[in-house]
Amino acid sequence: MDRKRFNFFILRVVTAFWLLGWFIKLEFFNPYLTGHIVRYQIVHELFPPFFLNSFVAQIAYFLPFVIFILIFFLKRIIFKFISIVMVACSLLLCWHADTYNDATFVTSFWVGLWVLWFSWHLNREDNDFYYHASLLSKLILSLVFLGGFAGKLTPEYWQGEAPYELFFQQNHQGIFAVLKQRLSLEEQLFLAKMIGRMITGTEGLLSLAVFLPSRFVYAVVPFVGAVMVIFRTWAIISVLACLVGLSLGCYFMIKRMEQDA
Amino acid sequence: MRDSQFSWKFKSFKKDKTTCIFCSVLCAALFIIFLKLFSPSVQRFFLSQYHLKNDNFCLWALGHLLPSMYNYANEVWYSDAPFDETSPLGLAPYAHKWVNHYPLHVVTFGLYREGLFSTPKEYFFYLRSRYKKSEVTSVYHLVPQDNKLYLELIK
Repeated sequence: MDRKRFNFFILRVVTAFWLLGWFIKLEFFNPYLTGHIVRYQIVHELFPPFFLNSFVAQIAYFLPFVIFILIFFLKRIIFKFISIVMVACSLLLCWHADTYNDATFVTSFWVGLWVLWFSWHLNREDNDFYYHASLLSKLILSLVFLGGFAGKLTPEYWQGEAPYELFFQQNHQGIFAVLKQRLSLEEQLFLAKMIGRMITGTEGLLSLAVFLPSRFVYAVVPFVGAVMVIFRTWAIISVLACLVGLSLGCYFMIKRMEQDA
Repeated sequence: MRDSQFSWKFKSFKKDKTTCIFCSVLCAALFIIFLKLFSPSVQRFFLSQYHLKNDNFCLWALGHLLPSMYNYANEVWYSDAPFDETSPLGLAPYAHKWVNHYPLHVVTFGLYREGLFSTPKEYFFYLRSRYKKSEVTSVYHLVPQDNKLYLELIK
C-alpha cells in the first residue's frame, strides 16, 4: 500500500470507530432528540436560545450519517469535509442544553480535531508527519484520562462510597446485578472500593500516556476500553470507541513506520 | 526507530504552525486540568460549571471541552417541597442520589423529564458537589409549564 492510500486507511479506521461511538446509542438518541426534547423543552438562563433549540440538536446528531457514504471516497477534500462535520457536530452537542452532559461528545470533539489535523496534512511527505500524529494522539489520550483521574481523587470515590452507589445501587444489569444478588453488603462495599481504586489507578497511568511508550499506550487503551464495557456498561462504548479507534490507527501507523525504517 | 525518538521530536513542530497550535492547545488544556488538583479557585470554577452556575456561557462552553468523566462527589436531593437554604437534610420527604457528573443531568438529560410533566407541580433540587476542600451547593426550582421545564437557580 502506498503512503497516500495508507494515510486514508488510518483516517478510515479512526473515523469508523468515531461513528461507532457516535451512533451506538441511536436507540436512545433517536426518540430522545426527535420526540422527548421537542415535547418537553427545558429553559435555563445560561444557555442562549440557539443551544436550547431541539432542531439544532437533531441536525448535529444526525448529520454525521453522511459520513457513512463519504468515507468510501479517497479524496482529501472529502475527508476535510468529514472532519469538519465531526468537529462541528461534536461542538454543537457539547454545548447544547439537552446533550451537554454526555461525555461522548467531548471525546468525539478531541478525536475529531485530530482527524481534522490529519486530513489537512494528508499530503505531507516528510518523515516527521507520523511523529507528530502520534504525539498529538498521545496528548489527547493524556488529556481525556487526566480529566477522569483528577476528578476522581475524592474521599467518596477512594473509600468506595460513590462507586458502590454507581456500580451496585444504580446498575440493574450486567455483572454487577449478578454480584449484588450473590455478595453480602460488606463484600459489595469492599469490591466497590477496590474497583474504584483500580479505575482511578488505570486512569492515572494513562494520563501519563504522552510519556509512555507508544506501543504500550495504543495496546492498553483498547484493552481498558474492552474491560470497562464488559464490567461497567456497553453504553460506555460511545465515549471510548473514538479513543480506541485513535489508538488502533496510531498503532498501525507505528508499525508502518518501523517497516519503512 | 526507537520509541523515545518517536515521542519527543518537538523541534520539528516549528515547521508547521497548525501542528504547533494544536499541540499548544492540548498542553494548555492539560495544564488547566492539572491546576484543578491544587488550586481551590480552579476547583470552584469547575464545580460551579457542573451546576451550570457560570455567568458567562462562553466561559462555561470553553471549560466544558475539558474532559471530566465521573468527576467529583456529586449528590442530588429532590423534593416537591422547598429546601432549607443551608442544608437538604431534615426535610421530608425527599430522595437522594449520587451522580457521576453534571448533577443537573438528572432532569436535563434522559427520559426522566417526562415524569415531571405527568403530575404538573413544582420541584426543588438541591445539588452538592465536593472536591478536596472545595464545595459548591445549589438549589434549583423546577417548574413544568406549557410543555416547558423552567430551571430557576435559586441559590
